[in-house]
This record gives sequence, C-alpha cells and structure tokens, in this order.
Amino acid sequence: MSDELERSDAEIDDLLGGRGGPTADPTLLWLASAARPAPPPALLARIDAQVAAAAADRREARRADRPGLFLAVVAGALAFAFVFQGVGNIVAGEWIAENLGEPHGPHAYFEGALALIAAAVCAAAAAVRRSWSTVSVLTCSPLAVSLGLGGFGEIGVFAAGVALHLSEGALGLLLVLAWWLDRRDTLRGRHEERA
Amino acid sequence: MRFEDVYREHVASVWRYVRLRVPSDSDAEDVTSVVFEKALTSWPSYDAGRGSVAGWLVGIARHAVADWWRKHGRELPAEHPGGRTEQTAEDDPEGDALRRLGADDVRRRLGVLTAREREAVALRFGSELNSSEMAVVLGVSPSAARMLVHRALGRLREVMDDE
Repeated sequence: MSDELERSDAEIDDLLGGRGGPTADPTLLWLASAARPAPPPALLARIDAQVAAAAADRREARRADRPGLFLAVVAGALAFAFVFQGVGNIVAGEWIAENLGEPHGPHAYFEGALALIAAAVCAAAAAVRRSWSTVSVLTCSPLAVSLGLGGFGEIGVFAAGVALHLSEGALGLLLVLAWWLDRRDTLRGRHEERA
Repeated sequence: MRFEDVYREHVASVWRYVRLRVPSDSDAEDVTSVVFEKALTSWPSYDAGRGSVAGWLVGIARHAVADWWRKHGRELPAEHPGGRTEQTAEDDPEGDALRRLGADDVRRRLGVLTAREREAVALRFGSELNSSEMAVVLGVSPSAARMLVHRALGRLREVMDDE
C-alpha cells in the first residue's frame, strides 16, 4: 500500500511538473488540467491595484516622516558637534586639560566622550525621522544648552572650548526652534488636508 | 524579498486553491483578493524561518475560505427535497453546496468528497503543494496526506465512471 501511495504521489508530481506522459491515469490528467486554469486578468488587475495602493501608502508614510530641511540640518550639526567633542576628549584630552589648567583624568574623559557620542546618535535621529525628533529635543537640547552655558566660564581661558560650547548651546536652542516650526507646519498641513 | 514578487509567483496557486473551495469563479476572485489584502498587511511580520511563503499564503487562504463559508453558507439556495446524496448538508455544507451549485464539473465532483479529502485535493492540485507541505498545513504526517489524496482520487474515479 505504501509503495502504491509513493508511486501515485510521484505520478502526481510528474504530472504537475509537466512530465506526465499520455499513459498517465485519466482521472489524474483531468484533475491536473481542470484544477489549474489561469487566473482571470480582472483578478490580477484587482490585486495589482491593491498592491500599488499599499506601496503608495508606504511611500506617503515615509515621506510624511521625513523631517524638514531646517530640522534635519540643525539636528545633523548638533550631532556633529557632540561627536567632535567626544572624539576630541579621547584623542586630545591631555591638551584640553592643559589649556583649561586642570589635571587630566583619562578615565573621566573617555567615559564622558562615550556619553557625548551616544547623545550625538540621539540628535542624529531627528535628522532621519520626524517621529523621533521630540525625543531628540527632550534629551539633546538641555545637554547642549548646559554645555553652552558652561562655555561662558571658559571665555578668556580656552578659545576653542568657548567656540565649541557656544556653538553647541546655540544649536540646542535652534533644535527646539526647528522642532517647533516643523511641528507647526506638519499640523497645519494636516488641517489643510482635512479641510 | 518584495511582496510584489511573492504575489506574482503565488497568485495562480492561491487562486486555484480558493477556486476549488467555493462554488463560483466570482466568489473565488473575491476570496483571493481578500487573501492578498490580508497577506499584504501581514507581510512585514512574515518569518521565513517558520515556513515557506506558499504554506503561509495557503494558511491565510484557508482562513479566508472558512470566513467566506461562515458569511455566505446560509445565503446559498437550499437543496430540493429528495435530492441528497450519501452525505447530508449538516455533515458537510461546503460539499453539499459544491455538489449542487458548483460552477463546473471539477467543483461538483469535489463536492462528493469528504471535507478532508476535498481540502487535500485542493492543496495538492490547486496549490501544487507536495505531500510534506500538505502535511504541515493539514497537521498530519506526509503519508497520511498522501493517503487522503489517494482516497480522493479513488472516489473521483468512481464518480466519473458512474457518469
């Protein structure tokens, strides 16, 4: 019985694979033909339209989540500033400490650098997706403004530090402004679409 | 793997499977369309590690066919008195409807089979699944799946001889 089942199964495989000969079982031949008509063109057109509409929806959703140019540029610039400071702390920590007139703590500088690079990733997220921008603003702007305020204390001590920290502070404030403008424009666009 | 490519590769087999399970081609078109609508929605969560695309689509198609029968089974015209064959409509309403209302020979003849045999034939010949793939879908061993098809073919031979 098992052999018979195997044989019958192999015969079906051959037939469905287009290898069945004219000696094949007539019931199998009939079933293989009657059960496998071509799908009607109307059905294909209907599903094509569904797939195309879904693809258009996905494109629209991606477009809607792309941040405005101003927000993207400010977030990217702040991310760059954080990375610059973080990498600078690692490669030139001793020089920075010397210019600030304080003892160099490699351990603290290294861990601070890692934290700054993590903050840079968070800031960069706002340059990629609008939906991530709120989190970027909440985490990066306070940090950037704090660094900016700290920069005032370095005036007359370390010019490069002043320039970097004041830039970070300004970018932190600009990030809030860019986020607010982007949000306002998005909400206005939605209202107009609804209207 | 893009959904567009998956759809093009599998639309014929899904359509053929569904067509063998509902009475008319227009019903089959509606159900097939629903299958791909659901597949499109679920595509991001499809996990290739859990089975083939063909098996995944057949799983969706089986649910869509079951939903169709739940919604439309009672709307189909009732059988004339005395017109019943060996199985009753209560046992197998799908088979009963296919026997009476099937749009072509293949569906009317499949209506004579038991629900499991009809499903096995639709999977083997409509979806063109092999015995192992059928076994996964039906939750049986590959040899049991082969046996279902074998029995179905035997009954179809009898029906065709009687005609």
